[in-house]
Order: sequence, then C-alpha cells, then structure tokens
Amino acid sequence: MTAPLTMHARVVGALVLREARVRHGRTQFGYLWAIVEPVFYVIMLSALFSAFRGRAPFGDSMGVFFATGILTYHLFRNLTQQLGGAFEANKPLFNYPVIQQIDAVFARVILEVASWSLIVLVVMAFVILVLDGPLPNDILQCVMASALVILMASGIGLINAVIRRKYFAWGIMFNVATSPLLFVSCVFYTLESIPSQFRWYLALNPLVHGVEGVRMGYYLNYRSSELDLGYLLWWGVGSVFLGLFLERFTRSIELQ
Amino acid sequence: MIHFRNVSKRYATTSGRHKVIMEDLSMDIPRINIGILGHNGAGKSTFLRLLAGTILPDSGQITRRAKVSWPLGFAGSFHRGLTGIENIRFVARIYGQDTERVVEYVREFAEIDDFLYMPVLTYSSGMVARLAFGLSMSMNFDYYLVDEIMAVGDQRFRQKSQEAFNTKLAKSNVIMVSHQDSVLKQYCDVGAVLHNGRLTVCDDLQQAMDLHSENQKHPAIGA
Repeated sequence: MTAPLTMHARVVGALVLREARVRHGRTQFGYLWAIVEPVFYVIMLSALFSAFRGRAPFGDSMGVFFATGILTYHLFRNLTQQLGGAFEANKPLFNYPVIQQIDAVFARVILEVASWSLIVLVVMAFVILVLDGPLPNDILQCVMASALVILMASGIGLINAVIRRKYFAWGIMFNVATSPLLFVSCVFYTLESIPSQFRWYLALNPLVHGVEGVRMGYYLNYRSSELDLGYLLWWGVGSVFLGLFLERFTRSIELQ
Repeated sequence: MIHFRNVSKRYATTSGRHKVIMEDLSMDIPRINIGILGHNGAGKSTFLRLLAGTILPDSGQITRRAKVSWPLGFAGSFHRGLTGIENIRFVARIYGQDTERVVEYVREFAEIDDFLYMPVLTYSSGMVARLAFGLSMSMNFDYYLVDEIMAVGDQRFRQKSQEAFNTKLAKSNVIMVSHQDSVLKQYCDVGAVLHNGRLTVCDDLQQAMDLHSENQKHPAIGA
C-alpha cells in the first residue's frame, strides 16, 4: 500500500520535531558538542601544520582549508551513520500503522542536513571572523558540491539501514571499513599535491570530488584537474536508487 | 473492509524449521466485532499486526479500505525523556489531528494533572497506561485492534475507560485477541480461531470457543 504524499509529509514532519527534541536532550550542552567537534579538528590540524609545515596546504588560511575538508567529511560520515540506525532507533514507532519505515530515514536526512548547515554557519563564522580567513568566492558552487555529497550520503545511509534490517553488525563493520576515508578524501591536502600516478586512484573515491568541489567554489584560484562532479552525481543517483530499490523489496523482513 | 488475498506468513525457528502462522489465507473482513482465539504462539498477535499493516506477509496481499488503529493502549512508543504532552502531540501530528484538541482530551481523560508536563520516565506504570489509553480514545478509527485488554487504574477509572470504549464502538468495530472468554463475550459478535496456519471463522462466538477448546486437546504442529 502506498500512502498518499501528504501523509508521508506530516509523518516525516512529526518525526523531525520529535528527534530534534530527543537527539541532544539528555545532555544540556548536546547541541554545543556537535559544533565543538569540527572546531576542535580545525584547530588541531591548524596547530599541527603550523608546527611542522608553517603554512596551509593551499591558500593563506589554514582555518578555511581544514574547515572545508572536515565539514564536508563530517557531512558524509554523520549522514551515513545516522541514517544507518534510523530503523532500529525508531522501532517502537512502527507500531503506528501510519508510520512507514522509510519515513524515519527521510526525517533523519532533514534533521542531519539542518543541523549540519547550522554547524557550517557557526564554524565558518569562527574561521572567517576569529581566524581571519577569506570569504567564499562562489557560494553556489560550494552548496552544489555539498548537495551532491548529501545525495550520495543519503543513498549510502539508506543502503546501510536496509542491510541492518537483517544484519545488525553491519553498522560497526561499515564504520570500521570507512574510517580510512578521513585520510583518503583530501581533507588535509589537495588532490594536486598528490603525485600524478596516484592521483587517478585517489579520484576513484567519490568523497574526494565533494571536498575538492567545495574548495573549488570557495577559492578563486583553486586548481583541481581531476575534479569531476558528474562522477559524484552518478554515485549519488546510483546509491539512492539502489537504496530505494533494496528498501522496497526487503520490507517483509522484521526488525531484530 | 480489509481484504486478505492468498496471504502466507511464517517464521524461521532456531532449529532451522519454519513455524507457519498463516497459510494461503483469502478472506474479506467485514465491519463486525471479531474475537480471535488460538493457543499461545499460534500467531494471534502477528495476525493483528498483519491487519494493521505494521508487518508484511511473506506472500499475498492485504488491502485496507478502513482506518485501523494502533494496538489499544500501546505505550511502547512513548519516549521516556519527553513529557506526556510532547508524546501526545507527536501521535496527534502523525494522524493529522489538531494537537491541542488531542492534548485537551487526554488531559481530561487520563487525570494525571501536572505530570503531563514531566518526562514520562517520572510516571508510574499506571500513569503511563492511563495516558496511553486516553490517547487511544482521543481519535476515531474504523477498527480498534486490541491485544488483551489491560485493566487500568482503580474501579472508577476502569468504568470510565469502559464507557469511553463502548461509546467508540457505536461507530467503530473491534478486532480483539483475548484469553478471557468473558471479555470476548462482552465485545465480540463472531469468533475466529487461528490454528496451525488456518483461520476458521465462526458466525457464532460460542462455536468458536468450542472449536478452540477442542483444538487445545490436540498438540499444535511445530509448537
């Protein structure tokens, strides 16, 4: 039975409100923590590079360079992890016939993107105002590259959630398997700085194009000869369709 | 009406075998009060969840042209960190109801006063049950699904609950699982017996109860 769109919309809306209230409810500084983590990374990386290298991998501002990398990486990591747990976390709610399991995934996409956007505003304000970083050159391109990362992370997150219907341990396995992404996604170096014979391999990682795409928009004179946002788009479209397809045909599996 | 077309449902057991809950069931469920009987583990609760659509059959199709409730008095969805009011508002929202109307109804009904503004984790189990029952009564459904009616609260509150439910049943129907014959007799017009994957519908409730007692004498397959 396919529920009418308005029903999905109001269920997703109610879930967003509920989760927003619940998510950081237990600790008083819950929302603050979500901002502290990326700021901490930016400061730590800036300090490390100041000590050992003296200047940023690109541009004059370490803050901007690391923030663009870390924030884009966090967008992917948080979305895939949060969506992966969407079914388990909301299991009791599926006793209400009006709530479809996929609604919980949509709600988490909205919630994650909203809170990430807020974090980006705060972190970038800190980097620009306090660390004296430059303003973005082409915000629209930054938004577009981020949107492509959101699309792909949503698709992969949905696939994760579907796999976890049957194999609970998949969540941990995925986290372990993707933990090297922090090091192979151009978070603290540029793709151009990689020797050309390895560059092609690194460019197979779709997240590289997300990070490089954001920087391409941020900096006026950023160079990235391998950047291919179309490649990232295909990953996004492919994973979303695969996720929706798998979700549709595994609905009779009961959550463990 | 709820229509079952060739519906099958089975569960894998730990021994690698399958327990058949429902085998190729086709039937139309009319707007009538139905009591479901069956021994423990026959799949009565599973049948209710198939009716509600909260689980799907392995094969076959179930179509609903009716509003089916969540299990009467279900409280498992309440988030313990949220207040009673926040939990009520959530359910009102997913059903597209006026949140303030529902809150007012439940406030009136549950009689837990200021606890409505406290997190559910501070409630006694009786208070949770009153909140849950009040919420079930605050909206209208074509079918109310009942998995064992729990008596909630003191004599006065029980009477109030029963009156509210009886009022609902003027326009709604009930599909009920219960082991208490007296409860079934009070609410149900017909009986359906679930046994070894087959559902037998009897137009007379007493007939269903007799069949059920007869089934009890024979060991169930796979149980």
